[in-house]
Order: sequence, then C-alpha cells, then structure tokens
Amino acid sequence: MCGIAGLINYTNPLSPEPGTVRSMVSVLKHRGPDNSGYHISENNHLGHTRLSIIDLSSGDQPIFSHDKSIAVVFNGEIYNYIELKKQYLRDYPFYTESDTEVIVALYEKFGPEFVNYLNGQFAIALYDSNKQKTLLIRDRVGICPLYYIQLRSTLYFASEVKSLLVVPEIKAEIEMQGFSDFIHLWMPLSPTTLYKDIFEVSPGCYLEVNCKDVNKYRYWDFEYKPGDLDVSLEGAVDQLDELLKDAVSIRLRSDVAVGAYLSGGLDSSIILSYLSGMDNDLSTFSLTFSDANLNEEIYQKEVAAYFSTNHHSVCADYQSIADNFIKCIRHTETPLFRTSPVPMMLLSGKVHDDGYKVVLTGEGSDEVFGGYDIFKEAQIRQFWARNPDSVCRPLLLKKLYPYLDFSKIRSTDYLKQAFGHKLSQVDDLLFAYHTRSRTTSAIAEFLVEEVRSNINHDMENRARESFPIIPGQYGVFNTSQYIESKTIMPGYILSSQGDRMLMANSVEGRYPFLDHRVIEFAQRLKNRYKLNGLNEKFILKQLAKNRIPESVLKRPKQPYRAPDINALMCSKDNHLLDYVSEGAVKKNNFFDFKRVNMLVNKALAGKTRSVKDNMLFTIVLSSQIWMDEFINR
Amino acid sequence: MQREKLRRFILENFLFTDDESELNDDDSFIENQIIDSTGILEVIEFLEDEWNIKTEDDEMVPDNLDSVNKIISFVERKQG
Repeated sequence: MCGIAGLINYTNPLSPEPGTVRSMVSVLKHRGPDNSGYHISENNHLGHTRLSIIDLSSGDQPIFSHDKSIAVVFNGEIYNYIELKKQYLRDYPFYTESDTEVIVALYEKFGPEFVNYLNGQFAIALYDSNKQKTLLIRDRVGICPLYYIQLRSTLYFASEVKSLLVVPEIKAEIEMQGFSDFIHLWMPLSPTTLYKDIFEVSPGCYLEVNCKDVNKYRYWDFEYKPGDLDVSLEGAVDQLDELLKDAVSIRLRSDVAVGAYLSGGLDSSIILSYLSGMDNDLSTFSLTFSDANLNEEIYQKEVAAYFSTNHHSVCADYQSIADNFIKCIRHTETPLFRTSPVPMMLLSGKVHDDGYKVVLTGEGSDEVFGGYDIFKEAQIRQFWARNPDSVCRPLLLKKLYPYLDFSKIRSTDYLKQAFGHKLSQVDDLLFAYHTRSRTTSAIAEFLVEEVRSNINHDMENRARESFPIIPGQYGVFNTSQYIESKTIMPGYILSSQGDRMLMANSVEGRYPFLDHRVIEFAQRLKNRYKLNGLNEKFILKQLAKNRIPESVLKRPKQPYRAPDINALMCSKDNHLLDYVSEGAVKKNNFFDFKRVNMLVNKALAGKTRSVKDNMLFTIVLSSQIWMDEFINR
Repeated sequence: MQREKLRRFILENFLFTDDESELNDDDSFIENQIIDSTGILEVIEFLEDEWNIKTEDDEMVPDNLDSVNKIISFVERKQG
C-alpha cells in the first residue's frame, strides 16, 4: 500500500508551486516511507508516497504513458497484472515491471471501463491530459481509502483526511449526518464522512473530474442471486477450493516477504492451509490477550505447529491498549465504539519490527460467507416475528450470545426488550441492525442539547436513500449481508481496524476472501450453503475438513473483541481521563459534562460491565480525543 | 430512605443524571429502555449489597424488578 494526494482544477490553472501537494503527501509518510514522487501540471498536482512491494527498482510513481499524456498515482495492488499483460497488453512497450504501468496501459486500451478488468485493492488517481479529465477510482469493496473535498474550482483528494486538513483553506467541522450515521450504524454511510464537505469515493465507484463538473459512476456492487449456481455442496466446495487457491496464490505476488495473520479461527487457518503449500518459510503473526476469555493463544499455537510456521505473537494487555489509544485515533481519524483497532495496530507493529511489509488475512470471510452473529440474530428475529407471542422462539437468542449475561435471567421479557425492537418490520433494510442501533444511539442522551437536536434518528429513510436496493428485494439474510458489506466492512473492519492500523506501521494487508471472484461466487450459492440453520460459514467448514486442525474446525466461533473500559482505565497516571475532565468536555461543548462525569465515576468504581456502558464510555472518550486531534486543533 | 437510595442508584448508573424528573417510580425500565438485560444484574447486585437480600433465579422477572415501585415492593416482601 501507499499514500496518494493531489489537487485538480480544470477551470483555473494551478500554481506551478508544488508546496501544497508536498505538504499533503508529507503527512502520509507512514503509508509509504520508501520514496515519494510528484507530477505537477497546470490542471493536476499528483503526489505519491511509496511502500515498495512490487518492482522495487523501477516502480516509483507517478507512472506515465509513453507520450506522457497520462499520469497515474496509485495506492494498492493489482494482483492479476501478469495475466492482464499476457491477455490484453502483449504489444505494449512497458518501461517498468510494476503493476501500476498496467493501469496506464489498460486505460489506453479500454478507457474508464478498464477498471472492470482489475483484480485487486486500489485507490487510483489517473490524469488524462488529452481528454482533460482525471479519474479517482476506488476498489470494489473499499480496502483502500480515498477522500476528497471541493473548494471553489479545486478538488483536493487524499488517502487520509489528515492530508486534506494540511491545506490551510480546509477547516475541519463535524458533519452531523455522518455522526448520526456513526451512532446508529457505527460509521457514516458512504460517501458521507464525519467531516463536513469531505466525502469518500465510495467502494466500487469512480469519480470523473473534468472542466465542467464531477460525475460519479458505479462500476460494481454486491448482487445476491441465491441458488443461481445450481451445484451440489460437494461441487460448490470443489469450485471454492480452486478459487481460493488462486486468490491466495496471486496475493503472494511480491518482491518482499509475505507473512500471514493467524487468529486461531476458521478463516485465517484456511488461508494458512493454502499458503503452507505455496511458501515453505511462512511466518505467522498473532494477537494474544492478558484477558483469558479473549485469548485464543492455544488455538494459534496449535495451527502454527500444524503448518510448521515461524510463529510470532504480541500481547495486548490493558496498559498497551490504553497507552496506544490516542495514537490509534490519530490513525483512524474517527471516534470508536470499541478499542479493538488498538491491538490490531500493536500486531502490525510486530509485523513491521520483524521485517515484514505484507500480510495475508482472513478478513472478509464473515461478510461473504455469512459468519457474523448478526446474520443469525436476524434469522432468529425473523422466525420469532412470525409468532411474536412465542415464549420459545426468543430463547434461541440465548444460544447466540453465551458471553452476555442472559443465561442468568430466566424471563424472556428481557430478551424481548433487547431483541424485540421493531420485530414486525422484517422488510426494513436495517431489520438486522435495530438492536445494535438502539444500543449505540443511546449516546445521543449524552450530547448537549444543541448537538442532540441535529441528530437524525430516521435511519431507515437514510438507508433507503443511501443504498440502491429496495426493501424486500433480498431476503433478511442477503439484505443484512449487503448492508454489512456496504457499511461496517469498508467503514470499520477494513478501515479503522484494517488499513489504518496496518498503515500506521507501514504494513500492507491482503484479503483472499475479498477477491471479487470469491465474492461473486458466494453470492450465487444457495443460502443454506452459507448459513445452514444457525451453522455459519457452512461451505467453508466443509472445505476446511482435513485441511486444518479438527479442534479449530469444531470450536465455536469467537468474535474478535478487545477489553474496553478495563483497559482504558489503565493509562499511565490515568492521563486518558484528562480528555473527559470538566475542562476538556466543556471546551468541546459536544457532550453534557454531568452525564459524562457520572459515566466516568461508574467506570472508576469498576461498575461498568455491560456492553452498553463499555460502548458509551469508549465513544465519549474517543470522540473527545478525536475532536482535540482533528476538529478543534 | 430505601426508595431514595434506589432512585439515586438508577438515575446515576443508568440514566447518568441527577435530574429527578427523568424517572417516575412507575416507569417501566424495559419499555423506557432504562435498564437492559445485562443492567438488571447490576440492579440485583445493588439490592443484595444494600439490603442484604438474596434474589433467587425465578425471582428475576419484570414483575419484581421492572420499576422503582415494583422493586420496593419486592424488597419489602423479601424483608417481610
């Protein structure tokens, strides 16, 4: 991965002075510490900071067409660049061995449609001086970030918001629609961000900037056709095996060593099972926790031994999570409702320190193959909605969340309270998210009145406006897969917990389960091959038989979680609490100090044990830090 | 006295406020989203610590615990 930034103006010539773009790139150095390069023209200033992975000697960017009329800066990887060269570009006079030059060559051959040929993860800025236009392109699922803002006739773009904020004319203000989205769905709905007037290029889309306007085009989207692939389970497993083998194989293309994350669960173990046949000197990296109920070390060691890897691990204890929380917010550029990104930053730090720049991970499998509890929760709620008075149906929810304290309470009334909200609205796009949304949106009560009055609670309408599917188009399972893949996955899993935490330590993550061929294959499977009753990722479990240790195959799914309040209360000299002091809270005038103080006192007394309290505290603290770092600098 | 203590506990720990007007003694904790299913365990712990009563599993029902008034009645019955 790398960092890109730039300015585009087709109305008024840009100053030939490259100071602005250089400043923008300078704050992205963590994304690409190896080199930087610029293209300065009347209409475009393009900047790039490079993390060298493919073609170490001649791959510096920008890369140009032979007549210099096309310039490209690019963050990411095109994994099928070798096949593209062979199939479509045999006669093209390449001057580098890099995958970036394939972008230029393909664009010359196919125009903007070239993006459909790419298999990879990418944020691309492509300047075509002949046609006087610039394309800003983002990969299908949102692995690589890309933000922009228009100020008068100039459009500024960058891999991270902090790069835009170095431009003196750009002032950071909170976008309240983005914050409303955040407290209900855990991230703003694309292209909205938490920053007023700053947008992201949505996954699967590109912008065309020319002298007249800025146009948005969608070239790809998730599309569910359950059962379209009429094949037996065995046949589907065979096809998936071939696809994953190739998805892993092309993600090993690198001129530097590639390692792998190992959680000790099904997904990373499957990735390892393919890697072990391709790389005889494989290094694996794992997170361990001092909290015994979060720690998966036994399984990690078992899998590492099974595949004979060089295993490395790093422990995320309370102190290290607290000590790195502010740094984490600087990289996520958003408030958080959980601390779980912090350990991911510690892990990429370990990868970096051990001399690696690239890791493969099992991320994406839960969205693609139906692994998350929220899918099962939606199935149960749908089943329950058919007979809302049933006493037995909601009891299925107890099986789903054994780590919550429901098991101690016999009355189903509390289950009904937690999960029965809007039970009858099965066709809502957000049917699966009502429970989650109600928990986090409780933070609205903590806002001062003038902020609270700007919160939009009508998320169903917001969802209808944001997503190009209609209620009822898919069933509950596929709808929730769609929403999850368009919201939390790009907006949190792949960004706050993914790209930002990896790039904080100059490490690139690669995701075989998010190869678009794998996604499109899974979308055509019968739904029961994915969620079989309440048995998640059914086809993957069939595939994994005899490939991974049986104990891992049979273990219950353990969601990745990190300690929140318990860890955050362990900062050195309790310095994190300075951010929720009376002075700090009143300075930002965003949260009501009285309520914040009572929450803090409850935490100090060690009485904040519920999921809700942990989320509230983490949101308040992280928002306070975020405002200090980005909004009220 | 018990009532005041209980009210203060609910206000401070679940509503995070000292504004007495935010809680009526008949308000249903479930319907008004004041206490969730995990929070009710905190309430039980409070009752056990403060008034030295033991809550049996089959007593953890809304009839006993879903409002200030219901809890007070429950505690009085237990202390009998």
